Amino acid sequence: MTRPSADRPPNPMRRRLAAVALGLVGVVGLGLASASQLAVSSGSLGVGTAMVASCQGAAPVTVSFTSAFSTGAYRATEVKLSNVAAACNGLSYRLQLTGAGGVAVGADIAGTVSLTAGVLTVPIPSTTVTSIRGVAAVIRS
Amino acid sequence: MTRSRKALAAVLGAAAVLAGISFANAAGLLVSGGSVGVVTGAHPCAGTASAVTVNSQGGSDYRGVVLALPPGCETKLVQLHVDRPNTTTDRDGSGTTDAAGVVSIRLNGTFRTTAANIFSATVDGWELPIAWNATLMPPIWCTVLDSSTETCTATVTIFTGIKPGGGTVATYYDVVVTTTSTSNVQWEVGFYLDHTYYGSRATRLGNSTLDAYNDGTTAWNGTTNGVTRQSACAAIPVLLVRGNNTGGGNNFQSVLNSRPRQFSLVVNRTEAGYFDVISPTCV
Repeated sequence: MTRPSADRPPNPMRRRLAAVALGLVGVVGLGLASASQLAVSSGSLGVGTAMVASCQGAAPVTVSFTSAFSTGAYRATEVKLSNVAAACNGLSYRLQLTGAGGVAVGADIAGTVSLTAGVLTVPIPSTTVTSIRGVAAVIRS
Repeated sequence: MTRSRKALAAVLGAAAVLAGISFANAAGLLVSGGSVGVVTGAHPCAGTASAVTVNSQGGSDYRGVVLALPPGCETKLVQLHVDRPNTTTDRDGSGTTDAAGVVSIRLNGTFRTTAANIFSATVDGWELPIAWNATLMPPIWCTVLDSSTETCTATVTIFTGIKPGGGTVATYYDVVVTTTSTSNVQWEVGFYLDHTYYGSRATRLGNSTLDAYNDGTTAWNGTTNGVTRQSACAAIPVLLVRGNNTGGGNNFQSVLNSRPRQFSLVVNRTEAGYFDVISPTCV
């Protein structure tokens, strides 16, 4: 087996491999960066409220429900996100109720942020409050 | 296929898999290129609230419930429902927790804490499990008996020493009852006698108004008892007392925003008359 000499022109296939490898690093990096910027740790899912949003800043958002007792149980019919920044007004949102273990409860709901005194009210299908453990929402342009 | 072509194929395959995984992470968060924010919300005070029945209407019937919520649920709306399968009328009530996470809810009718009745509650619309204990209760609280909208506040100060007109050192629970109500409301004060604030559970409590002194402020009347126990002996360490129906137009059983009520209970005195609220045999 002969070793390539130092003055031998580079192998075109190696160049392609190098380019692909660089591209791979870039693509994976972008993807993971995208996820990490928006990632919410399990800790924040378990307690309180977390918000990562350029339109919201660091101000905490409070999540509550409109609920009433009906046919044997308290049922929620609205989700209220309070203290949402005015800069988020008019943007799009998607919202998902979650239950035990973070499992989705019902279908996700999409709409446009319309704030009243900093509160975004999202009507939801009547859902027993005992099945709701959390709320996840995305506000996007 | 040459070795280098095989390597290229492998790299391309890995790229496709890794890129797919990383974007799948983002897709799982419902994120697109234009995303600007993710909000997650969870229960403001996960845990179980302590519940104590108040405002007894005679026998086993009650009209109110005081709830003490876990930390994180201060100034939150609490809803309470009593499902009474043996009747056609359920009971409902609501209120807002104070800065200590305590709320006194007057229901729209009487109820019993029998096994058949099912109690459900929410806080800010989230499920709120409740347990019939006083674990989270503060040392003292106040309940308005005749209004579902007005509130009252009770504070307790422990005094040890000789009071005016007294002749010996004693310990007293000095209580002040206030309200923001502009009309008279009837009050009931609850004590959680096992609260660490008291040090140890009192075995005897008596109206110190039987003392010779009457300063007109910390005691109601020189020789008339200020309060009477409302709760059962079995409820101790929870103790409920009400102001007595004395005073005519300035009735001690009611409180007004401009007219606070004060009473004083002397602690663990064995002299006759000084354990009229509770005693070892719970007279």
